[in-house]
Amino acid sequence: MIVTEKKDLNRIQALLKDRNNIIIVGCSECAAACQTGGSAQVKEMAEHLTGKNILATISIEAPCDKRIATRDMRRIQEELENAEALVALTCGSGVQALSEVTGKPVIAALDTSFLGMVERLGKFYERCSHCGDCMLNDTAELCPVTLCPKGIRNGPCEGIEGTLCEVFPDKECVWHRIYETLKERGQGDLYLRYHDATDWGKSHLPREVIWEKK
Amino acid sequence: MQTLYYIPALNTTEHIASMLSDIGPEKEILFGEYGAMLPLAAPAAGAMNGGKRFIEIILSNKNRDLAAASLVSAAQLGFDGVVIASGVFGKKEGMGKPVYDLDPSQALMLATTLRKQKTLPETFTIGIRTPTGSGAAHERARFFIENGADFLAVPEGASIPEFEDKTVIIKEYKR
Repeated sequence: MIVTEKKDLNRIQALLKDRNNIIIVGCSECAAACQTGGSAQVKEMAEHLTGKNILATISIEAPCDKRIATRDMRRIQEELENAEALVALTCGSGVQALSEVTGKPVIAALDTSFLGMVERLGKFYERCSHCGDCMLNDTAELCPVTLCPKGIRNGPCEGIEGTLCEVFPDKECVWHRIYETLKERGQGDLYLRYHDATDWGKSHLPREVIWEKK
Repeated sequence: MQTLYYIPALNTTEHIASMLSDIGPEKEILFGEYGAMLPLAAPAAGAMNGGKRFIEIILSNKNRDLAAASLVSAAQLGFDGVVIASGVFGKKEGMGKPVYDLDPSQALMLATTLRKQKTLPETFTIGIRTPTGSGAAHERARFFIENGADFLAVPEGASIPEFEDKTVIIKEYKR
């Protein structure tokens, strides 16, 4: 899930200074789960934008998917034509998809933080850095690229304090956890398997996946 | 066990000269990366005469290209070897983006490859800051030795009994 956080409302208001006719768009997937862009937050935003003419509010299932965004924005075609700007309570991909789909200025009301694992609502943890070179099959399903503050692929580093992390001394070093888990599973040989430096030539931003026609 | 005297931060050439005089130029010295100047500047301060001279290469602030260039430059400037470290890392306001393009194992592979290719002289010694105190750390020390590290660098008070003959104590110079 894409974890988002709310931007300061004063910044949103400042960005809307010269725009009066507004549509507020929420996301009923990730941003709704984060309680940053669900229907309650869309309503809240509409209440905060006093003095603005809110033409419509809409929650889209996945605004980052241009197909869905196109389909759902058609439901408010007339309001869209009159809108001077959209306020998007979505991740950055959603903001850009909405801009491409509508051709209207879109104000990003959220900051996109990370790809998160959800423990329960309000507890989101980063577990994957989408590095494009997954080594989880060798590391007892613990990603050191993300869970080690140094992102070390062959650890631990020299800073390990007993079994604790140098950077976050209240946390166990992920490489210690990897070692202990692999040993318990009888897979200790995986621990010293060498992981080469990431080939960033494969990961230039912006990344794309385009299926080839068969 | 051998001892390397460690000067973590170099700030001016006068500073280097004064510290060398305190430590004794005949001692083996490791020039660190935590000051205003890069340790590559040590030769400019006349710091290369006496005992062996080592350069510290920390990986928190350089990518693989700069790590390679630093190794080659160090050898050309007369350093006898390197101590590779991941580098001390802490969160602070307004900090730059940490790099960590290479981890110490990958930097070790880079250095040993450069030495095999004779880009670094055969006499250039490769040491590596080594974790201690846990099973995971011990296994990593073994990996370093099996993959070409000439010595394992540990702080005073730490030890790696299995590789005692390959361990070098880093004694930090403090005024």
